[in-house]
Amino acid sequence: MSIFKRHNINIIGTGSKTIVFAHGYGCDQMMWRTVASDLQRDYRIVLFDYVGAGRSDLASYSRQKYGTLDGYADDVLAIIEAVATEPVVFAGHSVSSMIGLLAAIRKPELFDRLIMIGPSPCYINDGDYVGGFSQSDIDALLETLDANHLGWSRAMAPVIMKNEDRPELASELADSFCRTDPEIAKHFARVTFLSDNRADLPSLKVPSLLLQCADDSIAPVSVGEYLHNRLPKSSLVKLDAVGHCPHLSAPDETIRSIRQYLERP
Amino acid sequence: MSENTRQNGQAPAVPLYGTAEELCDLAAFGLLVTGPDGHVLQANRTLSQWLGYNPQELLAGKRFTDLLTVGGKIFFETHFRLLLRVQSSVEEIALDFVRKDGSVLPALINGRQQPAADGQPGLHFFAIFNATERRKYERELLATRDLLRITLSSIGDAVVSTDADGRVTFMNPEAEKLSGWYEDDARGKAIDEVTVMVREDTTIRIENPVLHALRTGEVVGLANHTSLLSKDGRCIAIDDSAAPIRDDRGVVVGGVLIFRDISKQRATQKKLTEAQALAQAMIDELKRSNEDLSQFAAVASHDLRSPLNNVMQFAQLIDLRYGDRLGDGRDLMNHLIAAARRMSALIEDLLRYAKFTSDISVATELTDANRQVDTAIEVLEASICGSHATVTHDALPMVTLDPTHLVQIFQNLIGNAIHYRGPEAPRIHIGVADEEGMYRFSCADNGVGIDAGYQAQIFEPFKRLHGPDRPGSGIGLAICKRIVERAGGRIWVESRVNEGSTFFFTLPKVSSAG
Repeated sequence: MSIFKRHNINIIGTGSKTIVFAHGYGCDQMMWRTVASDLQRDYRIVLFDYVGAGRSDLASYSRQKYGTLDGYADDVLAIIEAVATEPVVFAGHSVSSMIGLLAAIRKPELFDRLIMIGPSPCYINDGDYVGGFSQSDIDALLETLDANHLGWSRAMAPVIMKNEDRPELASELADSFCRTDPEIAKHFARVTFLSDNRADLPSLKVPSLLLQCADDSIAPVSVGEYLHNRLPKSSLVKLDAVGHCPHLSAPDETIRSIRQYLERP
Repeated sequence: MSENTRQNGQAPAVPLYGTAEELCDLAAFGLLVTGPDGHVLQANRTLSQWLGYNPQELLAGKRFTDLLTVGGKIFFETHFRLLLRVQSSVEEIALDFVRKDGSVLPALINGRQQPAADGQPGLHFFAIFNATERRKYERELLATRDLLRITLSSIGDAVVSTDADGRVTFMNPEAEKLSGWYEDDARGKAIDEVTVMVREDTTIRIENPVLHALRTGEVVGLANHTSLLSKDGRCIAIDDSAAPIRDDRGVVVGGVLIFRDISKQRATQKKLTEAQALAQAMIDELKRSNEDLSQFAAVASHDLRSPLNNVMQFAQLIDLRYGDRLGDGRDLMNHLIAAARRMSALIEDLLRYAKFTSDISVATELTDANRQVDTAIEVLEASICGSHATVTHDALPMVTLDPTHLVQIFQNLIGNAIHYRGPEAPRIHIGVADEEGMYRFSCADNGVGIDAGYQAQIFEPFKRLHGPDRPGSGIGLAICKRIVERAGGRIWVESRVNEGSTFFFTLPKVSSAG
């Protein structure tokens, strides 16, 4: 199976610079639709789904490979090598910020800049470090996932997979938005919320933009500042937007911040 | 609705039993309105009562997510809010609220997003339903499902279940291993595509037992000689059974197939069968060759006997008619006659041996060994008296052996003890002892004894340790050996030269011939 099919890669826009958008936990590339449709006027936009999410090839999911964020970073590197010949801008939401970090540490030559939206290097409180959650909180999340996937069955999968030659980001796709196999969703949740990449931060050579929401219950402001202090060549922008998904709740402000950062020399 | 109101185009006159505010407050479900940033703007009385807050507390700067458990909060941020943004409407989301006192209120929530006006996201409306009992029930269901899955995954047999149309709905790891299919790939596929059953010997496909069970509604028992063709080309011998799954009204809603790899057992069985066939073939061959040999010996002996008789008759005739004219030749003639007699005796023995070899009848009745010893002593009376021999015996048991065969053994052993006597008068004793499931008979004498180097040889046919000066053809012990071994026992001798010999033979207490 080709990497394009496996990750449901979609490329729009015609700019000379490529931005690869990576969705976060719990969703798929659909979350970028507002931001992407604006930025495609000036940039070449690459959208994809992680294996296990959206319309990716579920059969390629491996609990072993995706047992750590490194497995996802491997895929990010492969995708960039498949879609671009020049260094790219990698924009990752939430856990994808750390996946991008790991990938950029491994092959910095593939990256021009990183944009991290609502990033957190570690979600679990640890001594003085306040990630915002405890281990038992994560267990409660898994239970909530169980409760909300009772109606989800494999029978959904064909619905998600069909309509191969769909128009880009068609609105009827909203029906399958954020739908994930419950077992994969739980596994990804565990891998995401139990990851700890604090030790990796100083190794990043690629410049980065941190977009921090004013009131984010997943990645608090203190975490954004922690990152800014430890990531070399990082810029921190505090948005007025609240919540964890400014690209959805405040797309204009998010687009403006991204444009400003990318227009800087 | 009346014709009238429709014509007027006015809203129907629906009586309101209270103000809209009262209806909202008294609704049997929680109502909550938040701004796009998630702050609570309005909550009805039902919700504030459920959560243990007074309405003002709920409005004092709280966000919707502040009312949720942490797990619920993460789920809201990573799923619910996104769904709401994209779809404007989300229903039946399960989230847990935290009451003011810290206890948890499991709930089901429907959410709506007010259409955005001039680019700004609209308000969020939530209807909240108490789902304490339902969620408890669901958790129990989940636990049962998990238990079932764990149980089915843990057992050593392969299990595949199907729907009523025979499409795979579940496979346990053992079934994945044997069939070469992953459960994910097999789910929804026809059972006879996933578990291909063939006859072991012909590899011709046979009807899948699940389809049979679904068609007939009957349990299909273990079918012998079935093999499973795995996806990766292995052909595995299996035991299998299938049954229809019925719902509580007895309607067939699916089927279950259980099978296990028995290729090892079947390979062992095959080897055993082959070995048995080989052994039988060898036995048959041996029997044939023995029969041929006996036949040959009998024919040869018989055909030798008549010319030899002629030689003896003519020699005696010569001796009778011309004996006085032969002079020294008469001695030679006597030697000739003696040699012919010995040859005749040899032929006689050969015939006996051959007859015995082809006689494969096996006794099944008990015989009294005391009587057979006495018979043997009677037969040997002349030589016993002639040699002044004393023959004694213990009280002997009943044994399963042809009486004439037993007489033959005793006659041979006692006879030998007399033939090979030493300088003193022979003393011969027949004894018996118990030995694990066997009687061990002994025949002890005070004769010349046998050199250790010859003790095995003497049981071979026509082996003689002594020259023609001693009587006998050397066939007696060979016959004893055959009788004893055929009966499931063995025969041997313990002896030292000049110190006498003791012959032992064993016979089973219960006939080994069954």
